[in-house]
Amino acid sequence: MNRRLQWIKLLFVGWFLFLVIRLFYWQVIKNPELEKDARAQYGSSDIIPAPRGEIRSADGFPLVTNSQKYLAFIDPHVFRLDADISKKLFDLLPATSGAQKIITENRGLPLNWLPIAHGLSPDTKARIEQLQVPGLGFEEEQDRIYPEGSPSAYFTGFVGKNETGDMQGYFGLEGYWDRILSGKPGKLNQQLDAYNRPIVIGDQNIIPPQPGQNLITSVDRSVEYIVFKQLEAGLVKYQAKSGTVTVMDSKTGHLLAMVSLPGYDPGHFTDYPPDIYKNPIVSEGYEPGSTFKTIVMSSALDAGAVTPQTICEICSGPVQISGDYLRSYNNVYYPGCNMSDVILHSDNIGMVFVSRKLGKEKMLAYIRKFGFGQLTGVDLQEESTPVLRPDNQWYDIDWATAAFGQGIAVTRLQMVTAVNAIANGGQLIPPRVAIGTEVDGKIKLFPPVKAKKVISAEAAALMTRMMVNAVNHGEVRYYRVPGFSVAAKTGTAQIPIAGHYDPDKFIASFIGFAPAANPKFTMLVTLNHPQSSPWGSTTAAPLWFGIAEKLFRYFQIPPDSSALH
Amino acid sequence: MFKNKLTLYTYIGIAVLLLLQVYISSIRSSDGDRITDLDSKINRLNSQNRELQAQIYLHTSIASIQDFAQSRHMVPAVIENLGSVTVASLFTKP
Repeated sequence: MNRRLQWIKLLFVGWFLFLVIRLFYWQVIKNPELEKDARAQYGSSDIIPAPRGEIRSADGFPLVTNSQKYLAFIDPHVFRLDADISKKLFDLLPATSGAQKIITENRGLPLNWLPIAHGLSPDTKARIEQLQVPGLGFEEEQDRIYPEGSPSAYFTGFVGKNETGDMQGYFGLEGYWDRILSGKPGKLNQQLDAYNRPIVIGDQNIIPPQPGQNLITSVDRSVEYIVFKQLEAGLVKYQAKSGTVTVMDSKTGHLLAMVSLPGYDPGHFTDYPPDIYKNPIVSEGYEPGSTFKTIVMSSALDAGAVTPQTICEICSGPVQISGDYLRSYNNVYYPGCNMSDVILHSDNIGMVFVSRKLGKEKMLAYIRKFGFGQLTGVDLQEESTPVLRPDNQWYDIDWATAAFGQGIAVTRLQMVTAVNAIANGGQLIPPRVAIGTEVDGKIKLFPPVKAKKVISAEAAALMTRMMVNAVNHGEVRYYRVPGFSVAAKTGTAQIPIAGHYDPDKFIASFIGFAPAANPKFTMLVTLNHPQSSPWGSTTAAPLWFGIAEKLFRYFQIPPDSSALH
Repeated sequence: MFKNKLTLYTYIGIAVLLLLQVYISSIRSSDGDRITDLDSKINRLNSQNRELQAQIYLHTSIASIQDFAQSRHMVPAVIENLGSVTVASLFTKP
C-alpha cells in the first residue's frame, strides 16, 4: 500500500515537473520568438503624415493651403456591387471608366487592397458611404489647393507625387522650399486587438509629426491680380502670342507680382502640357533690345567714358563693322546728338559710340557686374541663365550689337534686377520671394540680402534723368499717367531663329520704375510677337502705363510735382 | 476541509480578487472601442474644419470675388483721382 502511494506521489511530482519544464521552454526559451510573432499579430506601426506648410502672400492670405481628400479602395474578397448601385457609384467616382476597368481586370486576384479613385471630396465620400457598398473603404489623402489659381501659378509651382508615391513640390516656391514645407512624418506604434481596436493597457509609442513650416512671401495678391487682368486684356488688344509682367519692390528687391500668359492652373496641372510649367521670367532667355541701352549707358556714365552732354561723333549715318552695316531701327540719324538724345531717340549708332568709348573689356565687365550671365539666386526652383561667352569670344560686331541689346540673351528677371539697380542708387539687390517662415504663430524673418554696388549713385541719378527725359519727350509721352514721373525705356528686339533673325517676329518690351525720384516699384512688360504693331512704344509701353496707373492708386502714391517739368 | 478560518478567508479573498480582475478587465477591454470611436469623431471634425477653412479661402480669393461680382452683372468702378496737378492742368492756358 505504501509503495502504491509512493508511486502515485512520484507520478504527480513527475507530471508537475514536466509541466514546469514545458512552461519554462515556452515562456523563457521560446519567449523572444513568440513575442515577435505576437507583436507582428497585434502590433501596429503607422506613419503619421506631416501636414504640409502653407505658402502665404504678404497679407497672410494662403496662396497655397491643404485640403482634405479621400482615396477610395476596395477589398476584392469582400467587394460586392449590385447592378442597381453600380451606376450610382460610378457616377460619383471621377474617371469612371478607369475605376470600372480596375475593378473588372483585378477581379479574382489575391489582393486585400485595391485603390479605385483618388482626390474624392468629403461630400463625394459621404454620398458614396450612403450607398453602403460592402468591401469599399476610404483613406485620407492630403491635397493642395490654390485659392488664387492661375495668377499665382508661376510663384507657387505645384505638388505632385514622386517615384516613391510621396508628395513633392515641383517648380516655383513649392519646388525650391520643398524640404521646409514638407516637415517630418511621425510614427504611431501601438497594439491592436482582433477588431483593430487599440489595446488601452498595451504598449503605445507615438513620435509626433513635425508639421511643415508656413512660408511667408512678398507676393501682393492685389498687385498680382491687377497685373494678371491687365496682361490678359493686353494680349488680346495687341494680338500677342504670349506676354510677361514682372513687378519688383524697388527698395527691397522683393517680387510683388510675376505673371506669364498663357499660364496654367496649379490645382489642375495635369490638364496642361508639361512645357508650360517652367516660369519663362526666370528660365527663358530673350534678347532685350533697346531696354539694354540703359545698362550700357549707365556703365559708361559710371566709368566716366561719357556724360549726358557728350556729343556722338559717328551718329550721322550707318556704321560699318567687320563688313556689316549697323543702322538705326528707323533709318533716321541725328548727327551731333548728345547722350541724352541717344536714349531719347533710342539711337543704335549712338550706343555703338558709347560702347567704343567704354571699351570692350569694361563693357563686358559691367554687364557681368549687373548680374547677367549668372543666376540671380531667386528662390524659385527652375531659374536658369543664358551663358555669356568668355571675353575673347566677343567679336567687334558682337560687342557693337550688344550695346543696343541684340546678340546677347538675358532672362526677364535679370533685366528687372539690373534696371532696379539704377532705381536704387546703383545698388544691385538680389530678387527674393520668400521673406520668412511661420510655425505655431511664431514668425521668423529671413535676414535681408546684401546689396552690391554696381554703379555710383551719381551715375544712377544721371541715367534716371535721361530715362525720364525719354518718357516725357519720346514716343511714349502720349501714354504717360498725368502727374507722375516715370523713368523707363522701350525695347523692340527681333527674335533669333535657327541662326538668323526672323524679320516678322519681335519681342516688344518696356522697362522702368516709378516714381522716378523715389521709386516704389520697378516693372518690366514683354509681349511676344504682337501682331497689332511690333514696337514696344505702341504695345508694351501703353500696357506698362495702364498697370502703373492702377499701381499708383493702389500704393496711394501722390502725384509727383517734378512731372510738370 | 479548511484547517482554520484564516485559510478559508485567504481562499475567499483570492476568489474575490480573481472575480474583480475578470470584471475590471471586461469593462476596460471595451475602452479601446470607445477610444477608437472618439478618435474617429475627432478626426472627422478636424477634417470638416480643414475643409471648411479651405472653402473659405477659395471663396474669398480675389479671383473668386471678381467672378462673383461679374456673375451678378457688376462692373469695375472707374476711379478718377483729382490731385492738385490734374486740377491745375484744367485751368492751364495753352
